[in-house]
Amino acid sequence: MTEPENNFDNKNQITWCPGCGNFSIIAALKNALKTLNYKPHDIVLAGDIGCSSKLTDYVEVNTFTGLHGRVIPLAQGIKLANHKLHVIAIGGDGGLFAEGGNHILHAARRNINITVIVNDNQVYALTKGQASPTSEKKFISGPTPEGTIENPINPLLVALASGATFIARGWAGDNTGLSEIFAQAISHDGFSIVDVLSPCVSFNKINTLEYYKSRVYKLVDDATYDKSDLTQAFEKVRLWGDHIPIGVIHEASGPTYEKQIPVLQKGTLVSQNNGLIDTEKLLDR
Amino acid sequence: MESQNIVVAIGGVAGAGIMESGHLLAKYALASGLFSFMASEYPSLIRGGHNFAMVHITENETNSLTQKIDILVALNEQTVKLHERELKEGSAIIYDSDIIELEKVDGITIQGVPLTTIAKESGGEIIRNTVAIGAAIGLLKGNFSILEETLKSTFEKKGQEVIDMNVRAALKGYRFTQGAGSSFDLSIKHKQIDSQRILLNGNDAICIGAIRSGLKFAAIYPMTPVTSILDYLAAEQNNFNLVVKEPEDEISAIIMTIGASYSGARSLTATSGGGFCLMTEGLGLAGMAEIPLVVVEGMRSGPSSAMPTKTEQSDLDFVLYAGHGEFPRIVLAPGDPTECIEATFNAFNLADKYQLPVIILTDKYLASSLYTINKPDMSEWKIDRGKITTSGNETYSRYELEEDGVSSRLLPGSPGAVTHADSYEHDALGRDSDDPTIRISMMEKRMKKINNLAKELPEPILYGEKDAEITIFGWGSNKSIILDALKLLDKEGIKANYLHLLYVMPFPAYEVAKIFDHTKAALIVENNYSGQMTRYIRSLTGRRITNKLLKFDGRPFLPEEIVKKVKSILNTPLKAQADIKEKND
Repeated sequence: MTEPENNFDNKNQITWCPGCGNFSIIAALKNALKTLNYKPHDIVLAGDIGCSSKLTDYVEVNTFTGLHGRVIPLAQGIKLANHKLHVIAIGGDGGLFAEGGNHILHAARRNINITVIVNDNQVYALTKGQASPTSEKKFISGPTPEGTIENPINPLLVALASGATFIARGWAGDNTGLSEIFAQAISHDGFSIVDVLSPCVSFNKINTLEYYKSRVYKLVDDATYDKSDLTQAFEKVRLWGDHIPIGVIHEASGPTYEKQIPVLQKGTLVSQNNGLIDTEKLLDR
Repeated sequence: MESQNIVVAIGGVAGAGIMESGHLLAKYALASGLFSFMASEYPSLIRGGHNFAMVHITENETNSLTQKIDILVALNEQTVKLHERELKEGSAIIYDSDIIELEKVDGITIQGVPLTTIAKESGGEIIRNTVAIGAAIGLLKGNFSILEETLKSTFEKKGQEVIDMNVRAALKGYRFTQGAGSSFDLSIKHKQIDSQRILLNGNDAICIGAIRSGLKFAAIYPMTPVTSILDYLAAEQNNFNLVVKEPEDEISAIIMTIGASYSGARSLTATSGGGFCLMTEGLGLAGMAEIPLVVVEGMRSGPSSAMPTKTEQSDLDFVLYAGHGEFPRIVLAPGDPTECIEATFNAFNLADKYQLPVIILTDKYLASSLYTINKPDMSEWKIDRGKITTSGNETYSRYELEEDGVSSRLLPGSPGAVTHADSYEHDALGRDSDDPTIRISMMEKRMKKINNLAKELPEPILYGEKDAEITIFGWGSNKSIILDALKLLDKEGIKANYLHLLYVMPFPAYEVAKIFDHTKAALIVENNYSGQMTRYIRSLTGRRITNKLLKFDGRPFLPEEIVKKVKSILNTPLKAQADIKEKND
């Protein structure tokens, strides 16, 4: 397709339910990309599978809709072959923390410069409402008729423990704030993850917009909080219940994965010698 | 006088340098103008298990093992116990007399050498194997200066001290046995050196082919027998501008590889059967999204963990059909390191040209055995990246319906347009669609790539005379073993030929069916239980091969086993053969 103007819009028909948190996520994402003044052709949006990942169809940038649970390795491969691209991975709580749970640990510890956006609606929505790894305990659904007996995963605690250098919690109810968080995450030099609390109007009757409205508070309003302090971050990230902090919870600097690969200091992989390689010395040894 | 044909075997505990000793002997043979073939057996442990390497040294080209041992070099007692029955009249045992006591055996030269003492005197117990190799060359009345040069080149990178120590150790071992075994009459000659000959194993050959083709990215999770591909490529990263990664699992390996390929880098992953199980979802993704992908599947014993370090050809069915749904793929089964280089080079061209997954099927035996080959002339090989572009415009659509089923691939990052890849069924622009008309056109687009591809692939090669008493069918690593069997059969006046199946999918059904028209008797040789290629041939040609030589004990075939089978088939009266055929049908 032709490169669109920098509004990232396209005419594909959106299939989310009215009131879905994804509408807020897509608006915030487009707005962040505009703020950053990125060109559509320099961005790759990699998608998982699920309601969250339908987003790749509705943003006019380079896209790759991959497999359930596998968006993180996909994004890393794309990035390593051409690290000039801005690579954003989008998935849901099921794909990223159940099916593909292993990948986030390693992407985070690599500090590879990609951004992971989690549309965390605490339910499997595309398959019509099963409990997910972030569903609250006692969540009643098809496979859990008497409520889940597992404790939920805290996605950001997992990411933080794995060495992520940027973790943030967003909320679909605050589109402006979400956009600012996305812009910071995408421009962060290293691995960044944004867990977006995003209501599913069809299948999650617990964690609704109203539920979060009365609980979330913005971390930026807390002048005493130092997001570079890992100890404070571990404490803050675990807060849940009546008071849920949103905003950037931790930001640190460290060498990115790409910067530690000598070959990539000469340029992107795709831009390097694409002609016939002389392999004589390999044969002779 | 019979030409040179010597087998030296060396065994000891894992960690004693058994593989290195085998390499050293092979290098000595190469430097003496001789051919050598080395295969090794090792258990899935790092220290303490029994490691064993056999080096078959010959004057004329041979690339297989044989049913004998001329010199058994025993660094421990277990080696003698496990292998003494393979010795025959005239063989010799060289053993470490510091730690092993051996009784005299009639007809066998028992040559004790104080390997431990000599090694310690020369620089350390660790070089017991070098003393032993010196002793073996001494017993064979070889040339020490060739061994010295071999040691120098082997330890070049480790510095003068290591070279000196090894040369001292080898010389002491050499002098100890030189002329000692008067009852041992084998001797190793040296001939004119052919500088075009090299030693190479299948894994290194794959790496060379990949690098030659412009490989840029590899993500490989360690697994026997392909791990050395990971190590080799990683070591060459800075020399050839590669990025080589050891990811968290095989799923990540294949998906990262697909991602890198989407960005435009020639990309590779490698695994064995167990890892390939995890990769199957990625295989389907590459098929659906039309991403060029090259996967090496080095087979080993299965199912499940089975015998992890033993060879087998039991994943043919698996790689042919792995994945759900229908998508085109290419499967190549190279038979030796020469074919590994070329097949890998071609795999990258084919993957790019047809935008689909290509699987290179090898096995533990081919992956890790050392062959003597002629340096391939790659000067005429051309890189073909297919329909790839970095300039988009308003009319660009990723999955445009083209006559040949292959659409232009715009690399992300190209100004002027964006590109889409999709695991869902999609329209020409790459948008999700379950419209029946679009589905039909897109399925047909992908599947018809196979038709053009089939026309391009080379015909299978028939080795030997067309007019033979028996045609042997085989694939992959059995090639060199069967070719050596043909030579043995020829010596006995039996005319046999060999049909080698390298391009397995798409299958050259017409050409293979034609071969059957000229076949008087047929035999198929496979390293598996059920005859997977036999079934595949029957399903695509309607021809049934009833004579099967199958082996699934984790060990490679020996040419002698094939000779025996051929003779038993040819000695079976035709009436009986027909009866067997009827029974099998």
